[in-house]
Amino acid sequence: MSEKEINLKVNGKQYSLQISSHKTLLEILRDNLGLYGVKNGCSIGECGACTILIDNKPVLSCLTMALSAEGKEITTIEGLSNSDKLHPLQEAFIKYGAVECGFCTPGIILTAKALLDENQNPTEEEIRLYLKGNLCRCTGYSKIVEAVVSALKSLRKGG
Amino acid sequence: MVNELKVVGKNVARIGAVEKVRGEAKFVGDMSLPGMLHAKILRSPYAHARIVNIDASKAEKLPGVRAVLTYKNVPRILFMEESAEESYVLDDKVRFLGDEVLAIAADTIETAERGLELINVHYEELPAVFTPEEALKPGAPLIPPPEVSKDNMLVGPARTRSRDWGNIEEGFKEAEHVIEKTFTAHCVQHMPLEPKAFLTNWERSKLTVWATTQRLFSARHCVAKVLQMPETAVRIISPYLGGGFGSKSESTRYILITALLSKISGKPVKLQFTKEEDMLARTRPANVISLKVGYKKDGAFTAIHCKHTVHGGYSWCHSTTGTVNIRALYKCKNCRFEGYTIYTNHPSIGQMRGVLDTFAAWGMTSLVDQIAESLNFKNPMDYAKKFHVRAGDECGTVIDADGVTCSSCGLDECIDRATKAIGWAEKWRGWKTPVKIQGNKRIGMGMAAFTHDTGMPWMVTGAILKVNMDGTANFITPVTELGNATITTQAQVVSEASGIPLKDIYVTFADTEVAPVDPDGQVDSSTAHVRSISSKMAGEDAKRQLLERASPQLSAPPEAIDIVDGLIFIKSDPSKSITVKHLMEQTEFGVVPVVGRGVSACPHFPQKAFSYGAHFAIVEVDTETGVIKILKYVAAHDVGRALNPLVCEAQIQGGVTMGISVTLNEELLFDAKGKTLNLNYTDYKLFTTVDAINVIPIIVESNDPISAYGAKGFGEAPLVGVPGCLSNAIYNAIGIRFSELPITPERVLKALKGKK
Repeated sequence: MSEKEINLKVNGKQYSLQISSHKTLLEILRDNLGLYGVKNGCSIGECGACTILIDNKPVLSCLTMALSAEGKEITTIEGLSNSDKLHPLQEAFIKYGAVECGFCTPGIILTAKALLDENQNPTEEEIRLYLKGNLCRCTGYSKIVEAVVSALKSLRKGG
Repeated sequence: MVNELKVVGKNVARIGAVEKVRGEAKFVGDMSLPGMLHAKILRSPYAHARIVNIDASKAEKLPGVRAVLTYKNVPRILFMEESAEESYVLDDKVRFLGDEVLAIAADTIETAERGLELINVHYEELPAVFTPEEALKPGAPLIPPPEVSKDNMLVGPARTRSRDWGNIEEGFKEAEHVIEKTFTAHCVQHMPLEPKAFLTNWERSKLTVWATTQRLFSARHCVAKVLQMPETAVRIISPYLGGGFGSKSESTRYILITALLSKISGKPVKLQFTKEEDMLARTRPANVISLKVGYKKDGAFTAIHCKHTVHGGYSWCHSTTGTVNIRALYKCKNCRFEGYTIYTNHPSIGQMRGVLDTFAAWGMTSLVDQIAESLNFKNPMDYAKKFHVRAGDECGTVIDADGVTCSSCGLDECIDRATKAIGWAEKWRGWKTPVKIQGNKRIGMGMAAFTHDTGMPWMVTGAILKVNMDGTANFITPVTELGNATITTQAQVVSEASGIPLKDIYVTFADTEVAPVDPDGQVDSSTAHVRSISSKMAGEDAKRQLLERASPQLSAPPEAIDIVDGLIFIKSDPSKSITVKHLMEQTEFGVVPVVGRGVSACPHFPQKAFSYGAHFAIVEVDTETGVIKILKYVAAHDVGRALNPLVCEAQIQGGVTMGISVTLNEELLFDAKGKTLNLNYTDYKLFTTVDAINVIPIIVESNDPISAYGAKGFGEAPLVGVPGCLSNAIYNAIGIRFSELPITPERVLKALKGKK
């Protein structure tokens, strides 16, 4: 386990860190950068709570070695909206009651963000298929899907 | 004239939602303290063994290891949580495969893990038993400490959950028909997304704990007892919880392990469970429900005998028949309910959403469907509508006083609205006649009527509302926030009652240092019912004080004044007014602070509240693959009053989805040595977005007369109705009544083969 220097770009900011080479991105984002919005649900790539975006694609940070993310654009939930104004997805999740315990919420919102970047007109079926790796035990998913559909509409309106 | 409610019943955004969508909400696992150590637990490789010796000397010498905890250095003091067994923090005996043997605190998680590898435990393996039958055989190995019990059956005056009403023998004599059936339910896991975590800080005379617990006051009581400290020296805080569903009801052992590691090391310690550990730490038990019912030709019950046997692990399942609510659903004079918890060497059990009522309700719903069919009722719901308990009818369960009656029942409205929403009249083609047959696919429909409790009769709680100098207020409530928006709905209640706007109320929740004692915590769907009463009282108390204070200012007696949305005004002349803010900003000699206080007990006599519900489903059974697909699911719930309708809908959709998954899909599996085989999301599958359907929620408001604003708790009920509803719909599709859960494709195929 050697120490390595690494440069990470997270939420638009550059970080230069000295890390153990075996560390996952999940560990570095949480323990070194204090980005606790990246949730640690299972550590083995099954629940989706630790989902982040790397170059706008959803990635399980618990299965990603930190060293492999060098030079890439990393977005965590903390970086989705840099102002006081919430992202339309965040607003819709609140309005539609899609947030309950909130543990899966950051990962689901980021996955939904990646979907909406890829596909501006997904059907409900496509939304469900895209989100299937993000587990939620509270909601039964209906309100999450409703929130994504609604955010989609307001994004199209340019809201 | 009834005053229109301003805050209660409104879809206000949940408190903490902004923090949650921004990733700022802190869960225990997200917390740390300077100098904090990390703890890891060594778990038993045997289902039953005596620990002859533990050699931890190598681990203790490993640089970075700061504390080692074994049965040798924990206080030898028994403790018993409200819903768990009597036990020691660590014992010289392990009782299931995965039981706690030893704990290490070290500078890093990696060091703690390496430390565990250096531990040498000498076990003497003992014979293990995995079923109630084996555990009760003469000569079976004794599982509990001998000072707790001399055998493997948990009974005793305090915990016996058996009771008779009327005369059961006479009841069966009176019967014109008798039907008898045994139902077997499986072991499942709650599976909240957040695994349990604990952080402790032990300063000289004060222990502070941040814990994933749904019962912080019961936990504090036990921790203080074992550590021989006054309760004032133990502070337990439960921040946002990432789901509970009962899994965080019995956390005291882990709090004690973490606290003792802190004490030994003199440092803050964090214990973070892996998902695997989290799944082992309490499960919902396998259980067997034997039902025998006698009834007249018209269907009226003359006798109900319910015997419930729980595969206990080494645990006391609080819920053995205690939450079996058959008597709150159907009228029957002669009943006998018996409950037995049998210790086995499977993992410890705990409570899970709906507790064991889910399975008693499943059994009763199946039998009622069968009775309704045999007596040629036109529709299954006609039976429930004819015989269900109504307001004023006797309804007491095993834990209730004699003669207690039902305070409100919205079941008829639930049934009527759900019947319409599912399209019953257009689709139902009669008993044994599927709605449709398309090749291998048979579509059937069914329903279930059910009830669930909303608080145990012994529950007590309280709330405080402190009004500040600028007119804002701090609301202090013992409730935990599991994700079910309890802090939001309680704040709505206190805002409504006090007249202080919701935006001006800050909620401090789940902190034993400041909140009134609430021993039972967030269990049994009790919050909206039991806690709303004290929250309302605290709001009203603060309002009374504000009115008294405003009286001289407005030159009117307090009873002539009201407060709405932060404005204090004379009722007959609202133009004469003063804001709460303005009132509080004025200081005069001798004017005392405004502190509202509310304390309450669960209303339990002469009336008791139950929530009611009716579920209707249309299912498709593929007779070639055995796969069951839910085509439509309507869930109507009598919630008394919806404090926040959006939250109620989410509870219904989430609970039903969990129920469908538990009924068709989920099961914890064990091998012959007692090893749990599927401790991860890959092997223990939850419903995903593509498995779940859009459950149609219907909210019915019976406006319960003994509740605050009429609200009954119902968070568990959405799960309770599912196994029965699906079983009945499956019967309509394929003519088979299942008496074993889960109803997997394998079971369906096997049953279809047996039928041919």
